[in-house]
Amino acid sequence: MNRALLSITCAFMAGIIIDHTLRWSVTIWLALAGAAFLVMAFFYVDIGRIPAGKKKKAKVVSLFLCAILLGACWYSLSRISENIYPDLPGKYVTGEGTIVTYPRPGEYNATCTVALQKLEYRGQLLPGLDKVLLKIKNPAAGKGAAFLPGNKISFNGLISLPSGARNPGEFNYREYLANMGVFHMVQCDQKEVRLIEQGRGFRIAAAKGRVRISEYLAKIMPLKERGLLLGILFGDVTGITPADWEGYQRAGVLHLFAVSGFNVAFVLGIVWFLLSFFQPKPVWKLAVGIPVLLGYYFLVGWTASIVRATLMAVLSMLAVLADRKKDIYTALSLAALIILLISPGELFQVSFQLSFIATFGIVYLTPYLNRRGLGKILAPTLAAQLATWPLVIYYFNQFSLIAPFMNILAVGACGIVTVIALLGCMLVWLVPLLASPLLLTAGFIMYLVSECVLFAAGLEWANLLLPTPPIPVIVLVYGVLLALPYLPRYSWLLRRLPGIVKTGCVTVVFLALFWQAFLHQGKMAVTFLDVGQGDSIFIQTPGGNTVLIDGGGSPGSDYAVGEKVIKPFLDRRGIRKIDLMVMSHNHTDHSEGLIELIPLVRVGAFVMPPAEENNENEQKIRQLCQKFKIPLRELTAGQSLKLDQHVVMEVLHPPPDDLESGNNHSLVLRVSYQKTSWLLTGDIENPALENLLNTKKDLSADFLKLPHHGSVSSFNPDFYQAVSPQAVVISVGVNFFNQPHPQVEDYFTAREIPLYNTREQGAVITESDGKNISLP
Amino acid sequence: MQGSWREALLDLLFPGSHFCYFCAKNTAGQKIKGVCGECGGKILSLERTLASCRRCGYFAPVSPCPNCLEWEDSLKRVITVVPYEGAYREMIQSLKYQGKHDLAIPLGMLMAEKVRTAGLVKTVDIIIPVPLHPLREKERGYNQSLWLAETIGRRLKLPLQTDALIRRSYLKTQTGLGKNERVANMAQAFCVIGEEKILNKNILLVDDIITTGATLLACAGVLRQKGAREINGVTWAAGSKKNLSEPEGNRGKTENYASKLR
Repeated sequence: MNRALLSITCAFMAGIIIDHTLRWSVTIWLALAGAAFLVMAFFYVDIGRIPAGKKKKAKVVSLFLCAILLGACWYSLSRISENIYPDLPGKYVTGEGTIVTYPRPGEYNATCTVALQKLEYRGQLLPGLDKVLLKIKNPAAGKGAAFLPGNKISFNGLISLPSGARNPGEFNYREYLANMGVFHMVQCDQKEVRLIEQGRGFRIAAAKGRVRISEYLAKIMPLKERGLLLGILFGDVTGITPADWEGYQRAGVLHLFAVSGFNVAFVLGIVWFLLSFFQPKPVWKLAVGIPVLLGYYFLVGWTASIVRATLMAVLSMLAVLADRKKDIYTALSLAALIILLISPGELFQVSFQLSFIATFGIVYLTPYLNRRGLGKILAPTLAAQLATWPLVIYYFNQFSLIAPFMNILAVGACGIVTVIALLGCMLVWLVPLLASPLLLTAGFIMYLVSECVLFAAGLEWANLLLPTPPIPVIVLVYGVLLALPYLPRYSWLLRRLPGIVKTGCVTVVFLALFWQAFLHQGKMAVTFLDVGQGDSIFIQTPGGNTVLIDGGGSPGSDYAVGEKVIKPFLDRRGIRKIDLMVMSHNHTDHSEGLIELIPLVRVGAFVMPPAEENNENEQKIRQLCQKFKIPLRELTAGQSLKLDQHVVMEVLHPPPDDLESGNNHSLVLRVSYQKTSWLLTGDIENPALENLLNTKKDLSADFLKLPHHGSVSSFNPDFYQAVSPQAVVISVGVNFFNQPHPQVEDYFTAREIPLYNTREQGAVITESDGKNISLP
Repeated sequence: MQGSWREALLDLLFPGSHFCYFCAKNTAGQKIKGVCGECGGKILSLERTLASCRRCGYFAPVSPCPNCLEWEDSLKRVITVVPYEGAYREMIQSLKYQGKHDLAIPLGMLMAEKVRTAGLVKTVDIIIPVPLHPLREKERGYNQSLWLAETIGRRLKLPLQTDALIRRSYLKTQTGLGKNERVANMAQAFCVIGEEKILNKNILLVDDIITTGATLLACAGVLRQKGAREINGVTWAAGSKKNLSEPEGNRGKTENYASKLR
């Protein structure tokens, strides 16, 4: 079959990916695309000289080239306004615009996207920006209704750039927003946002309907059930607690909260059931179906999955109308093409990828699994799981073992719940009295299902934590999945192959995996993680041993750095054991993360400087070490630990008779691998630095972590000279202590010694092959 | 020109709408959907190589036809397209029992062509598909005869009349019954509501298969009784006596690509 649309969409996507990696300017792409278009036009306009066979080929090739270049051009165009105002962040701007997304309440602020009509800085117009993300501080509970999609508002606030990925593999919020065409955030107080004009028409009516339904639900049922129902009906997941969310993720049922073909099918089903009393013609079905779907789309808002499902549903209605056979792959590619034409960055959004790959998987693999005898219920579920698991592992490091079974339960139950709840929602307007029993039933079923799922998710073996696989491995896995249905046809080939070849192939694959997992190509990596204001240094030796020095921490806040930053970082690398945990000193910005981590990972041993009296953090650690049977050692100057072959960690400070406490009692460690070395200085300040210099010990190192977040209290040129580093790093976040101090920074910039800073550039990774330290 | 643009767009959106259910060849640009000219030609000219009864379409080369010897006059003639065997049988079965609506188009088209060549187009006023009992239709979800009748009606530009004739008894199916049992089973099974709709009309009855003809005869009987003028029938397949007809090899050639292509 000739699926022209599928090929064109693939070419368009390839173009987007090409520009995503190359990031050339729009002009270049426009020129190239224009040229390709002319070439194509040349072949399409009849010119008799080229033979027919060749001409057809030339037509096809030029068409694809055109699609690829258009894709690249289109993506490049979508990000054209990203850097037009480099000086804008940090300024106080005023603007006007229409809200386009439902507000997303967070802990401290609600966020919503605003399509700008006007943006001003000191009376000067700033054209060219399409959208901003509005962060509204402390929105009053009742006032949420003012911030509905469709409403026109004005605002004034501080414009800033969204935060990028701070640590390797971390979620990149800036990129995420940029892919939706949002490059800036504006932070403002609730008072600084004013409603200019109530929206009118279909969209605002739908938005008000959604508010009304959720308010009605709030009246009749508790938060948990309401959160689940809103999640399933509208993809509004704000009512689901983070703990439950994690449970659903472990069980692999999160996709239920992405409104998709499932819901669209039920919405249409209900509408057509009601219509069936009038025995309508297909035209009428289409005429009624499209507005209903549009209304549902406005209720949910822009997500890849609902747009995809809606477009596919419309196309299959059209097929009936035109008396054509629908082709699901073409429908899928048309949906993708339309979404990408509207917002080319969607290609890189997790939700887009998962939605399309799952649908494709269900269509492509279900017949095959069916033939394998998996039955009508298990086959599609498993097909969706198979298609999504490489991506899920890539993004979430989770591989749910119970997902296929949980999904049969959850998808089945959610089908019933969706129907009941949708009917209930319609009745909220017509006969509110009848709505509540339906919605309560739906909520109750949801509650039961959720309890079952959460119970199963609580089991130890429910899921596996896997390291982030490299992209070539993912491509390979998808290749195998694509070939799966055709394998039986070529099984004769497998049978003919001599045993030694098969054994060889398997061995090579396993060796490659083994190499990847355990050998690290003989490199030693020291990563200075970005934990905000604080320290956390992760070391992986060439033999794969792991050392964590400090774990960050946020004094006076309940933000859990260890849980939110370090644990995910370890998960992405597939590390579940820290062979040696080091606390440089007991201050919260170094030790709190460790306290959180001890119960979450296996720890081989814990070391710290000699204990102080009555220190809360140290007591907690002592208790935890006892509880988990972790050996605890106190280290003093002169001792050294062998971390691996050729890797030694020497302790330079504090001396055994040290009288200091706190910062100046920090462990100073020199880690060396063959000819390269790092000097990690904790938070020591000048008194301790003087002591260190007085011992006349060799302090030299290639890479120095500057003491005490670059504080002026540790500014000591003698010390810097004694170390004579080739490069230095400051582990620091936003703070009130003027760290890093300009005096410290100037010292290194003046001498042209590279200075890295975790606040500016996120985590700093250093790698050593034994001879040189490099930053990849 | 406008039409071709529309077709091109539809082909882009719904590729693969055009293939022959009989030989799986691409039929893009051909007139009848779902069957290529070659296969269509072969099927329509089956009667040349395969003896069949002029009146009841029964594929048996004996005269008088043992099937319609005792038929009443109410049913004038039944036109059939293929013998009920091999791939033809699988096709009508997958239309009837698996609800493959797509198949109604090529089958219906071929039936319409056959009606046209039989010269009935000018005489027929309305098309009536043999109804299912409402309960049965609900159970099955569709009426395969209606699907066929819709295609034929569209092709021959004849109106459909679906609510004049209804089936009032929810019987067990005819399948597996002998000839006399079938007739007994069928008597009184149908009734006409709204006689004015059929009064003095020439009617074309549409059904999927004719075996003994009991169903069509029962319909015709009640329609004639209520004042219909001339009643003809058209079905996709007719029963055949294998030992009397051509060797199996000649007809079984067409494989059921419809099921393979899925």
